[in-house]
Parts: sequence; structure tokens; C-alpha cells
Amino acid sequence: MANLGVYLGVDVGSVSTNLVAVDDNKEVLFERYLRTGGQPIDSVKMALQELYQEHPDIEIIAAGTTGSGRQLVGMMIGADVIKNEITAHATATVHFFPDVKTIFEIGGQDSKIILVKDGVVVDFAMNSVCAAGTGSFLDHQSERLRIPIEQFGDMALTAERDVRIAGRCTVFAESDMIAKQQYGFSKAEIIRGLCNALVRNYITNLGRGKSLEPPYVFQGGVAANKGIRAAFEKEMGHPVMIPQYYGTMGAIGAAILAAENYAKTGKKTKFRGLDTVELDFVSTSFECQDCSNACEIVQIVLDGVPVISWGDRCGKWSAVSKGQ
Amino acid sequence: MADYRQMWQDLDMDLETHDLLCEVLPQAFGDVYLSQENRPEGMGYYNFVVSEIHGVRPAELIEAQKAGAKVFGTFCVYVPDEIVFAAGGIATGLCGGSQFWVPGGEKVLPTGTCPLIKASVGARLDRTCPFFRIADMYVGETTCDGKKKAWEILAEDVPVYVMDLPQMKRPQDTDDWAREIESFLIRVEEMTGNKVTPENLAAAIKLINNKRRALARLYDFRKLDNPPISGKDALLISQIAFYDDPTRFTQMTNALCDELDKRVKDGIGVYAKDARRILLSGTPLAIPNWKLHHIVESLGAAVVVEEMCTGIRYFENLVDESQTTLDGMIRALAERYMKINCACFTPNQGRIDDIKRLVKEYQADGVIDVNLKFCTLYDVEGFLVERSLKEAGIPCLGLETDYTDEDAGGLRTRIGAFLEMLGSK
Repeated sequence: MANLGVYLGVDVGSVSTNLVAVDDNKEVLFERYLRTGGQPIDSVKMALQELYQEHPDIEIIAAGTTGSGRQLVGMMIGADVIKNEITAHATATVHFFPDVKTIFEIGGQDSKIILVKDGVVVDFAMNSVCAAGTGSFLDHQSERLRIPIEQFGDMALTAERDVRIAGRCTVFAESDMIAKQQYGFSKAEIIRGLCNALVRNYITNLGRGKSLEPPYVFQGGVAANKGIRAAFEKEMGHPVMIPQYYGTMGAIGAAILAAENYAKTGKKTKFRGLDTVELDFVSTSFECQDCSNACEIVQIVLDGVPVISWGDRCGKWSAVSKGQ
Repeated sequence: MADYRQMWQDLDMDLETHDLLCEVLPQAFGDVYLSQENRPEGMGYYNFVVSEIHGVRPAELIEAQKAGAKVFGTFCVYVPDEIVFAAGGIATGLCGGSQFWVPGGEKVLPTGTCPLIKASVGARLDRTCPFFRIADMYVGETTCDGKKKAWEILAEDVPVYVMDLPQMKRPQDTDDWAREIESFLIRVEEMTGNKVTPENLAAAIKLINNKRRALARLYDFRKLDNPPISGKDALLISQIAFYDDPTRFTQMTNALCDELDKRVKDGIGVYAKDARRILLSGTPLAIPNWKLHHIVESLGAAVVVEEMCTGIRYFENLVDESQTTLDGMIRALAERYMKINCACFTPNQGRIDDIKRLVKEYQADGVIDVNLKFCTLYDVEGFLVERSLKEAGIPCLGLETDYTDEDAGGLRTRIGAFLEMLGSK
């Protein structure tokens, strides 16, 4: 039997590493969502191993990467396409919802809003340094309330009253939350208040000056939270759709982009295959002493040989690794 | 850089701290500038000026001081250099564009002050910039609240003269600005001991107009289909214009433009044919702030024009040269300077019109509107700029950044996505 041709997409973020495989019809055959835990290489290796275990008969025709670790992991696995998160997310959303006009994406440490017209990105915004509009904000509060994050959404839906919590800043939200608990609001009400605060904060920060038109699609890891979805629907006064693969849309987009690139160029993939798993990639770092900048150089070493370096201001380390 | 330690010591600079800056700057310049391919040979002059940034020009200024001239340090494109040069003085730009000076500024200013102000105050108080040491007098202006209060802090350490810039553009505001220029003239005369006459002011107007003409000529090359000079290089020249000797600067820039004429004839350009063309608008990029140009151009796009103080605001519009009386010339100066469109004015529709006009003139595919962190004026105006450009069908990306390198990754992702949004040609 001929091998099943698939396209691989990997989205390496600071919080999660997602890996998907889609077939010729862009159907998702495999989906893995793993915590990056500061070890993007190991997470990708683990997910690849699982992919080959579940589907021993596949052949990867092309591979794409996205996310903040796209360059690193792209080099490691031999990606054919390396794309930014905006393009990757929008590509996947437009595939599943061709009419979409506004995409809300909330991940672990970043969030974005993407406006689409006729299937093409026309405007976008990303949050900057502040985490108050992201999943980390919720993680932090769930820890404080001692309610597992998985139960957060359902609990928010049981709240009877609305309570307004200052959501501008994670630190201030916390003290406000304590105050509201002392006033006698229940945990469920506090959680609903947090969900509303997050959405309010997200829309104020990212939606400034933009006209947000339906259809709305909400994706990213935080889309698992029913409380946030409800808060979005309340804020927008309109239903909000959640894709089946809401948590891995970036990776799906990268896979679709790899497929499109292959269709256009017909180039044989640079993907290293299962060898990637066997290869001994090690991440190291050191302080370059060649000048007073004392840059922290991060290197990925393959079998004792540095294959990629970054962090140097002058470019001499990154140039060496590119040459190899 | 050659050895200027004795000069720096005589200027009572903090040599140890300054050494750190001297080590970092050539490195940064090499990374951003010298790594470019196919640069015009005429850039050699500007490379030299930067490589000797704290040496050659400061030494010239000190020589001039020994001969009796006074040096005026300025911070804003509204301050009329013509008055200073007419009175035999020298005007030199002082805006700080490096993170190196920011912590020094933060010792006395709130963290939530724009990096340009923090760096400028830090450069003075930490004694790590010769220009800030040399200037006999600083000339401030009332363009924003942060600057207004910073002058009071600086004035405890160095003589500061503040010009009261109007904030609206009604006829009486131009009258007011003409009166402010008159008052400034009197102060400059006192300081230099020289009279401003119709003859020397006419000559100074011509001197500065010629500098503007040279810059306009340079920027015209960027309007072409395949510009013969990079946006990075043009920005560097704009930055150097603020502190170089105006006569020599004009001569060198015209010489460079002659070379560019030849390049155009030979069909030599610096970008790939399909490079997207970007207009940068917003807050100034004081030397050595090359961060955004570096990111945009490293991603294969071209910065074709800056709607900024370090850009067209500095050289567009000439002062009328046909006036023969002092009053007439002062009026002509006031009218020229009031044509600059800064976000400190209300309303400021002129700036939005400028951006739209520049998009056409420079064939820009998109606009990146840049805001230095904590600049309220440009930040608020950004809303109107973005809305108005979108209504005109011009793609626009609003960005906020400062002098640090920490947000470079995030900026690269945003700018990369924006360039992709603009599509391929």
C-alpha cells in the first residue's frame, strides 16, 4: 500500500508546542498540544514520535513552522515554510470559516486580533508586553483561587450575579479580587468577573480604532474556556464560533501554508523525517567575550556541531551557523 | 575612534562610563550599516562622521568656541537655526537616541517619560556626551509636557532658553511665533555679543535653505522605482544633518546626490525588484536609533520616506529668500516653521494630509505609524492617522516601541505579518 502523504505543521509558542498533520484535503489526521515547558526541541520530538507511532504509514510531503520558536524548530526539523503567527492563524481560520471577518486569538502569553476581508488579512493587532489579556492571567488567578483552570469556564457559567473586577493589570486584578471576595461574592461570580475583565481588557487593548464585524471566530488555547466565550458573546452582542481544533489553529495554518507552497513549487521537502527524533539536538548558551557587549549566545548543537546560533549583536555567530 | 581623551577630560566627562558607549557604538553601526551591500561610495563621509561622532565635530565646536563663537544646543525642528548662525553662533542638535542614556534620565524623571527626553536628560546629567557638555546654552521649546518640565531640571545644570511654541495654527499664532523668534534673536545677540543684521540673516537663511535643498534632492531619489540608496542610509544622513557643519554637510550631500544621479542612469538600485515600499510616520528617530529601519529592511522591504522630524519635517518648505528687512525675514521664518506639522498642534489635519501626499509621492505600499513609548501626543493622534489612512485605502500598522532591543522579536513578527498583508507585487 502506498504511503499516505501528509503535511506537517508545528506551532512553537512560549507556553505550548502544537503539532498537526493534515492530508491532501486539509483534513486533520493528527493533533498534539503539549506544554513547551522551556524545552521546545523535546516537545517537538515527543510529538513527532507519537505521530509516527499512530500513523506508521505516513509520508511527510512538506512541513511548516510558526510561533515565536519558528526559526529554531524550522531549522531543526527542516521546514519548507517558516511563517509568522498572524498569517498562520488566519490561513487556518479562513480554511474552516471562509466568511470570517474577525478572529480573536488568545494564547498563553500573547493575544491577537485579525481582521479578514474576502479571505485576506487586512488588519491586525497583537498585545505587547502585558499579560493581562492572555491565558497566563487566568492561570495565575486559578492558582490563587485554587480552582483548576479546566473547571474555570463551567464555573463562570453558574454565577448568578455580575461583579466588575479591575482587569487592566494582573497585579491590581488580584487585590481587587481579594476585596470582592471579602464583600461576599462567590468564587463562581469572581471567576465570571475575571472572564469579563479579560475580554474587556483584550477588546480595549487590541480593538482600539478597529471595527469588529461578525462572523467572529475565537481560537487559541483559551477558547477552551466557556466563560470567556460567553464573555465575548456578551461583549459583542453576537454569537462567537469556536473551531473544532481551536487550540492548534496556528499549526494547522502552518501545515496548510506548507501544502500550498508545495502545490506551487513542487519542491521536495527538506523535512528530516523521523531522523529528527534520533538526532541529538542540544541547546546551550554562553557569554561571548570577544567584545564588551558580552552577548548571551544561544546555540543549538547537533552531534557536537553548532547548527544555529542567535543572540549575537554583531552577527558573527549566526553567520557561522548559517554557512554550515 | 581616534584618541580624544584629553578633550573629553577637559569637558569634565565621565570617561569610564563614556568608554562603554564608545565600545558599543561602532559595533552597532557595523551590524546595521556596514553589513549593507551595494552602498553608494559617498556614504563614506557619513560613515566617518559617525565613527568619529564624539570626536571630530566636538573638536571643531571647541575650536570655534576658542575663536569666540557660542554653541547652542537644540532639541526640536521648530527652533530657527538661522538666527543662531546669523549671529555667528553654531546650532547643534542634542536629541538623545540611545538606551545608553535612559537610566541616567530615569534617576530624576518618572519612568513613564518618553525615551527621547530621558536619554537627553541622562546624557547631560551623567556627563557622557561631549555635545551636551560643549553647548553654551540649550534652546528648549514647549512641544510637550515632558520636555517643558525637563527644561527646569536641566536649567539647574546648564543655561536653558525656552521658546514658547504656539499649539494652534490660526493667523495670530504665526504672529506669536514671529514675536518668539524676535525674543530669541535678542537673547542670541546678548549671548554671542553679535548683532543680527539683514545681511547676515539673509546669508543664514540661504545657508539653511541650501541644506534643505540638498536633503530634498536626496529624498527625491527615494521616490524612484528602484531607489539607488537605502532607507537606512537616508535616515543616517537626516540624523547627521542635525549636528554637522551646514556648509560641509550640504556640499557632501550634493556630492552624494551626483553619484546617485549616475547610479540611476546606470540602473543601480539597492533593493530587490519586488521590495514593498514603506512610509514611516510618527515620533523622531534620533541618532543612533536605527532599529525600525533595520528590521523593515532586513525583512526585504524598503523604507522610502520618514514623515518625521528626522525626515521630511526637517527640510520640506523653504524660507522666503526675497525679504530685505529684518522684520520681513523674521516673518518669513515664522511662516516657514509654522508649516511643520507636529502632533503638539491641535487640530493637526495637516499631518494626515502630509502622510497621504507622501504615500503618493514616494509610491508607498503601506504606512507604519511609530510611537515612542509614553509620547501621549503621537499616541492619541495615531487613532486619527490610522482611521484616516484606512478610509483612504492605505494599509497602516501602528507600533509602539522604545530604545531597548527587547521588543525586536515582537516587532519583527508584526512587521513581517504587515509586509505579507501587503502581498507580493
